[in-house]
Amino acid sequence: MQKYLKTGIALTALAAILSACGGNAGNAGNKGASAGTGDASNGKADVKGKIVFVNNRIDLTDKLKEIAAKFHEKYPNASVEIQTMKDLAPLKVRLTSGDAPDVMYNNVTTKDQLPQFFLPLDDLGFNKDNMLFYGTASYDGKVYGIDEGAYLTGVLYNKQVFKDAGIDAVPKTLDELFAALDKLKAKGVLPMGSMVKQIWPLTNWTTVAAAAANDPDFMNKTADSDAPFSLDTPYGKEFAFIKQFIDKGYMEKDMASSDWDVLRKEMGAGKVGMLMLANYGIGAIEGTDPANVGFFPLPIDNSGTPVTMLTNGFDIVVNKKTKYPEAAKAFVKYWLEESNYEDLIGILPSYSGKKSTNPQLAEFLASHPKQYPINPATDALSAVANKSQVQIFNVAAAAMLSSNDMQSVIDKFNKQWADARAAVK
Amino acid sequence: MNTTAHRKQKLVLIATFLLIPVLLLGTFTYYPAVRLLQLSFSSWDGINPTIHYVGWDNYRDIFKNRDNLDALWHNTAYLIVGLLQMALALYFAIVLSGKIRGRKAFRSILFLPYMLNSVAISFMFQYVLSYDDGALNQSLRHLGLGVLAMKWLSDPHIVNFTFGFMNLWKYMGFMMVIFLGALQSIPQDIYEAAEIDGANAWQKFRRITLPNIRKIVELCLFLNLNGALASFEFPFSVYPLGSPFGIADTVVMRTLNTAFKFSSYGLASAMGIVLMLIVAVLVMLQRKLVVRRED
Repeated sequence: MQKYLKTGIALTALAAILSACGGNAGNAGNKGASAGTGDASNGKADVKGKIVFVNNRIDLTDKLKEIAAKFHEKYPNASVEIQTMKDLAPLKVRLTSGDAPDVMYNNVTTKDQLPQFFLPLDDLGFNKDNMLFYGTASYDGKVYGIDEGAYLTGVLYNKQVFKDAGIDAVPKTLDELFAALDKLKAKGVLPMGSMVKQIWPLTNWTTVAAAAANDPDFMNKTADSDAPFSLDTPYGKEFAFIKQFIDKGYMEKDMASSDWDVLRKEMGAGKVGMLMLANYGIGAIEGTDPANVGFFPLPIDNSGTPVTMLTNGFDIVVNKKTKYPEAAKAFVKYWLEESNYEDLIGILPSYSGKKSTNPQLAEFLASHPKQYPINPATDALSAVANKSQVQIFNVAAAAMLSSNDMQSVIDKFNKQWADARAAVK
Repeated sequence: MNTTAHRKQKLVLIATFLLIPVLLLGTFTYYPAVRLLQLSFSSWDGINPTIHYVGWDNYRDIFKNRDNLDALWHNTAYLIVGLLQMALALYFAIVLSGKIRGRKAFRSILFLPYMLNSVAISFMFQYVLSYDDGALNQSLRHLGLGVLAMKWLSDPHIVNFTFGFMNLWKYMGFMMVIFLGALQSIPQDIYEAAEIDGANAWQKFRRITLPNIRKIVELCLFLNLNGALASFEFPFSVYPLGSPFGIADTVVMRTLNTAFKFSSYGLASAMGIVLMLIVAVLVMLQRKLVVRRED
């Protein structure tokens, strides 16, 4: 009898614990709700609730807290908790299980899946004229995602190293660029880091392809081609362009071990002259005064007009399952118009009402580069890319590592792409 | 009457005790395994609420893709270095189970790398093995052995052995401790009797030590094979986006990227099932070979 009693008590206790765990989920939303006694002005009291926004900059948690505090000042009845995650991949799993944050970045769904997970954002007052890349994250006429800012590609450099090597002005033509690289080589500094080890920095060389194609959809059109990497295509011209730098000895002897994490410290220490990257790298150079980091657009010919590629940053979306849609939308509007987040990370604001105050971007834009925007990937391109498992930066890395025999690399990847195209049809 | 009531009591007790562990086992082991098998016949992209089934297409794709075979080939480098790791572990276990001064200190030192996080270890080795300014190559050049300064992490012929070495560095101590435990279970009088009969060290090892620790050796061989086919932590920490040209990609790295980077959960599930079958086949082969060798 006693044995049954003990078992019964244990089971009841267990049941009690399990039901308590289930009950907590519902309480999380109510905590931050209206405690404000303030006057309702301009309908700001309607914006209430506690929402969660997931951001990927774990190095900026303090600044993000300030932004959250300012949002709370503007909307006293609402508050946002900005959580940071280094890797946004878990968000995909959270979306499918229904546990995603109220506001987040979306780079996981295809266009037709947008209405299933997110709310339409047409009522925020943005349109094609005042917002870059507006309408690229839309389906069936409704806009679900708004671009946070644009990335600009260009060359990062250490201003002190340039001065010491005798380079007075930022190169605006290809000949000037090669001359500058020669001066750096003579000074014993690594003229240009290749960053092949990480592979992803090589995506910035697509600038050359973008300029050669002069078509914002050229990447999306590769989904229709069976040989997108051949030497006569925009990508092929990109590989030929990079080959010049390798042949003239401006990059490392062992490019496969060229490590961005090491190079960004070495640039700060004055051992590396230039790095082909984008504006998100401006804040990443360590070991030197931020004012010593410069950024200029890449010259690809001797016309005197350098070029840059404009790609979209993250799309901000609002979770369909959010408990406080007004607060979430108000936060999205606040983030894009008033938070100054773009200056914090050095990207170009996508909202035309905001001008960037980042000094390196100002220096960059003063060279009046020709901007080549690239439209975000269509579903067709994603399908072929995922099936073939070919990513442009892997092709670029392979092409750079076998620059003497690019054709065999090109053939291999062309075949993979063509096979995937056939399989996806 | 007492016995039947007693038996019922026993059954109820056993059932209630087993309930929770079986539930946990079912939820976290068997259900995902069944789901994995199910998904391997689908083309799910990880987010679509509807799942399309495509039959054996995924399995066909795996065997058609040359890169998968290359990755499996890279895994064999880890297998070979793993055998060296076993030999070293056994050697150190034997040496350090005898009466040597400071043997406890040596055991601790050799076991220490196992406590380190693999990501930290790969970061450390990246700095040491860097071609231009890594500690290893610089020391070799300083000693005039510059010809031995290789591209440890970027030469396609060497890189997998380099990662195998990182594996060895971390896990040799662990294997050594396993062997130590096994060695200590052999009674000392057998050795003394053998010495009286005039056996030398090698004969003692071959005739006494090895047969007595046979089961442990089999276990370590199995761990080695499993570890080699599942090796992932070191190459992934050094090359999270895949290695240039895929020179250091292992099967698990490719599976992971297939699922999470290329949103092909179906294909990745199939890769997981194929890997499991390969492990099963190889382990059975290995057991047959080992059993035949040991008379």
